Amino acid sequence: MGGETVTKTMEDLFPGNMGRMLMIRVMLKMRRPDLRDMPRTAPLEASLVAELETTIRQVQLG
Amino acid sequence: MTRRTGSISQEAHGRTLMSGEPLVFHCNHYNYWLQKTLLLPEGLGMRGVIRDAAASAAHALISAAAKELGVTEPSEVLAIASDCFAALGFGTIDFSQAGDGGGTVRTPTSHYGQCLRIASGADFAEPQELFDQGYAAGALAAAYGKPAGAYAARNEASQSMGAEVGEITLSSRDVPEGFFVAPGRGPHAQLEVPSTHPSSNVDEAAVLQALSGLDLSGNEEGLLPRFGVILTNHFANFYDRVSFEFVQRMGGTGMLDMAEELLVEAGYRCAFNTFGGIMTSPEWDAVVKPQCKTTEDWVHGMVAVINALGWGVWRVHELSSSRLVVRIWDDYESTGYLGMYGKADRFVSHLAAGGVAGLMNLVYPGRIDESPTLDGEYYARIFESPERFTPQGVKCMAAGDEYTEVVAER
Repeated sequence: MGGETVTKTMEDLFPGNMGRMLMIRVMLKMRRPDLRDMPRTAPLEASLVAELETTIRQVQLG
Repeated sequence: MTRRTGSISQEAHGRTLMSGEPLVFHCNHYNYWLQKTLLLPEGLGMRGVIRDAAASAAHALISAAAKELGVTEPSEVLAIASDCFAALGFGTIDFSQAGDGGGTVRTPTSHYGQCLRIASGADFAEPQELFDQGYAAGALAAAYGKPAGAYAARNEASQSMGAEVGEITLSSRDVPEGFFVAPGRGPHAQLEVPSTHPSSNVDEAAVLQALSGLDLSGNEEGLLPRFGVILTNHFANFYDRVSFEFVQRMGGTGMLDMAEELLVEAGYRCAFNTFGGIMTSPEWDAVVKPQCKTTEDWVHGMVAVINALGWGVWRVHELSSSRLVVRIWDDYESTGYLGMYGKADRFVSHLAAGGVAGLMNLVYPGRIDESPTLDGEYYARIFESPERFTPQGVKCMAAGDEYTEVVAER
């Protein structure tokens, strides 16, 4: 059986108002203002998801 | 407990100065969220900015306090520096192993080393005691009659990273070009502030009188736990310098508006924790709550308390369950901006904006009158509420307006 690829969206990674503030922090950390213009509900490339998830963990540290 | 510190003076428009340096109360949550924001983008050099802003403010305070007290002997000047550090809620600091050429400064207790961890809820990857480093450097420079930037500082041991005692190494350096010089008191509006809102049932003068009787100086550990948070009576010029330098450095990155939004959010966090802590405190129950006959009076009452924090004079101009308009005279962000950079081309009072919205969110969707537990779940519930308030900066003294005005609406 082939593994099913789970795609994530910006909305999945940064839900709600709290998520929006987290996204701003991630954008500043990554210096990626272009992320603001990404569609909220479109599937993201796996490499970008990995990069975003790594940065989220860094931002959530103290 | 007797401490030798600079003289405290109360000026018009709610400003408090110690030996000419304006002071403002802020809690460990604001200090954490502000610093976390400033340090987010790599390569901005904000660690140095924070250190140097602390050094400059500390140098100005300690030099002036020593002069007032007629003290010139370095060890005595450093004793004053230790006393000021503790009185203002920064912790305890020991200069006994430092001299003209530098040395080691210890911080057995530290607001930045110990109290930010409470606010973060997570471990730190880097030392957080940048303020302590700058304070130590500025104090040593003041003691030996050198300019504020005469010492470099770094933490050899950091309580924020798990060390039992903080240790800061100081070494001589050439003063960096363009080293920040704290502007002291800065400009001061000569305008008359209107009286409190006619619909208020809260006697602001009585609230301020009651608060003036509280001891809001550091305890034996040099820390200031009050209202469920840990306060500092901090340098306004420090906050202003680090915030505005962050904004300046974010210009041209395409993320300036986001940087400013995070500064507003830090103010919002401040309101949630400090205002929320105050409005659920025994002091509130004793002094303010008995005067609150309407829900709106909770807003008026908290604004009266804010006017004891050194943030300028807040006046409720318009208030309903869906809208608050606050006008502020001599908000410390504006006075600091004017003193450091001159007239602004935009709204700069981000802390005030977050504070105004945060206050409304506590009172209306947050129902602070029901004494909720001020935890992360409560914060998220308010912040995600469709009924929540968001602020807009409409006028700003730093940009040439007669007062700063913030509108918070659902």
